[in-house]
Amino acid sequence: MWRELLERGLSKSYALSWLFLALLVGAGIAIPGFFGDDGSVRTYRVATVGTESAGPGELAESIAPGVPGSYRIDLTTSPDSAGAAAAVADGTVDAALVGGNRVLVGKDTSSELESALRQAVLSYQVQSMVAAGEVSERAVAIMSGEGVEIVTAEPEVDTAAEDRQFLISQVALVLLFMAVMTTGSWVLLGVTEEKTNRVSEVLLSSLRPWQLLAGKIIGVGLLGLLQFGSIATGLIVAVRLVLDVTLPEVDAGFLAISLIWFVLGYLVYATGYAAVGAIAHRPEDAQNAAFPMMVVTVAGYLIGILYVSGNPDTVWSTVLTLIPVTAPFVLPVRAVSDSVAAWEQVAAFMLMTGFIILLIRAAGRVYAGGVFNYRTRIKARQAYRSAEF
Amino acid sequence: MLELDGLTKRYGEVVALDDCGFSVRPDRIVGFLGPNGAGKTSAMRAIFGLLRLDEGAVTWMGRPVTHDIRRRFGYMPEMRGLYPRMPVRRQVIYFGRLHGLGKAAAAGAAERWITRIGLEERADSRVDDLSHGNQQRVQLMTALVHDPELLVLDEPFSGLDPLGVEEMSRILSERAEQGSAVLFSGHQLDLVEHLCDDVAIINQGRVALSGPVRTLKDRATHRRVEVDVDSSLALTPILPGVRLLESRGTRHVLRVPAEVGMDEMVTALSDGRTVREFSYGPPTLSDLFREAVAP
Repeated sequence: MWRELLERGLSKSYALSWLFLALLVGAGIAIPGFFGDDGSVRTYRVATVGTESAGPGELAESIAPGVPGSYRIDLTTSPDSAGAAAAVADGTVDAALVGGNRVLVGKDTSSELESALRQAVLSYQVQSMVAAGEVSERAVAIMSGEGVEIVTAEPEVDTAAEDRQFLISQVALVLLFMAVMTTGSWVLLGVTEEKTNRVSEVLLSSLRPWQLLAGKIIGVGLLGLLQFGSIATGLIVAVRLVLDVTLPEVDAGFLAISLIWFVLGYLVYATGYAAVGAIAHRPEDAQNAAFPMMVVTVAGYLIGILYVSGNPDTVWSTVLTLIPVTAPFVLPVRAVSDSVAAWEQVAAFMLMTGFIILLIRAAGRVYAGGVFNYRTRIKARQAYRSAEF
Repeated sequence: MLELDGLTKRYGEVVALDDCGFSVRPDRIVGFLGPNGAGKTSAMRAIFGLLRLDEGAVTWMGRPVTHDIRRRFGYMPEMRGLYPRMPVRRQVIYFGRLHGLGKAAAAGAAERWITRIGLEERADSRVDDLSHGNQQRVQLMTALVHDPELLVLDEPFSGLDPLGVEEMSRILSERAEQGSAVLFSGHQLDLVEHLCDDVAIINQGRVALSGPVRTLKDRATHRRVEVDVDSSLALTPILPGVRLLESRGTRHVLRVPAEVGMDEMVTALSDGRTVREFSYGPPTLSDLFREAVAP
């Protein structure tokens, strides 16, 4: 374990992976500044015809949101409706208000503007009727929805908090996926290199296969955790300081579940990659040998992010929660929406723990059977059966 | 004492070890000889539990070799195994730690061995920057750093220059003098004869001959005669049972039954010839080896 930490931690490839991730994070923060929302507000030009249109026009102008990413309305006057229609038709203005109650729109007028103008005309008419005493303010209030109260029978749900946790669960999935792919390849190449430079035989004269594998997996895992933890921390600090965005608070229980399944997921996949490393006969062959593992990793990630996040309550999601290779990608997503029952969590954890123990033993056997086979790649089953110690 | 008792290992139809047995005592150097594919590496791997035996057992001081006992052994496999990018000093310390030494003890032992081997100036160099001979020295240090009770080396002399061979021989002798049991395999029979107290000769997975070199020579059923005469011996029968092993010009090597005495041989060889040089003695290790592995 310490050798992995020292040797890999001080290696050029580790430093390069740091650099790559740091650049990725930096780009993630900087790029929106270049290509994303620049804080501009869309502006619609609206012509008003006649004094009757001035009121609704000013109302529309005043109620336009005007916030970044939204729109505002600029008013102009037109002498007559024909001129206004021509201006709309040739795109000089986006729409026109005529006679206080008519909205002229063109084929390119946005529905957003059309809806805003309609709302402004109706509101202006109601305000005029209230002012003339034709209708009471109370009636207007009732018609506006104050006459009825909708009360939900279920406890109030903090949907904003759910959204935040959903976002965090998605981030956790992406991080797990990236961590598994990155550190998995470290474990894979580490095992294959030890095999091809024949250190394994010396190591195994004083260590048991599972000890060797466990040391490598834990050492690489700590390095990965250090790297991804630092990058995540850097990301949070950068978002707060550079983008001046206040990050949401996250439920501690949910964080704990995510972290536990992050570690369990890493253990399962890293163990698999270690076994694969032992059956490859040289580093160039390792990536080919690892292809099935990569397929499983990508499948688990896609299932979590594409299916389970949209369908957390289905039977399939329950089944996927209990399957060890998909559970790490599924459980945090379901935990966000409280879709996972306590028994499922306990069962999934027990199944996962048992699976990891079996997997480490099996990987140890595959390692023992494959590590002295220097000439060709052998199948995992063959390596398992031919394990010598 | 290390004892290999009835080791048997089959790979399908191929028998790698066939009731293989011999022992290695503390203070002694045992040369493990055999043709390629005879089972030497398999037997050595069995000592370290790297082979699942079909039958037989390996014991150390009368007890089965456990993982903890194995950590007190040193192993240098046939194909060298080092971390190529790790500096020498760190590599030796690492293997010392693997064998149970504390941090300070491993560092101290590493320094001692680096000085002893003469690699002080390369102590911080990466292993893959070293010459083959120096890599071999590092490999030896990793096997010795924890002062093993048993040292097992698979062909340690392969690829070494004469100075390297001399140095390796000296270190193995020192280890034996300090109480370690030393087992090594090799094909340099003269070297083994010179260095080893005991030998075990394996052929087709089975030990054909084992014991102290001196005893094996004395107990041999034949003697070796080297002679330089003025005429050819090739087609001339000399005495019953005497066989010509090799001839080079006027110099000949004969295999002589032990019951044929030296005087009798001198008389027979002098019959009609002039004997310029004559030696009569026990067979060499090469002779014993050839006899043991003959089909």
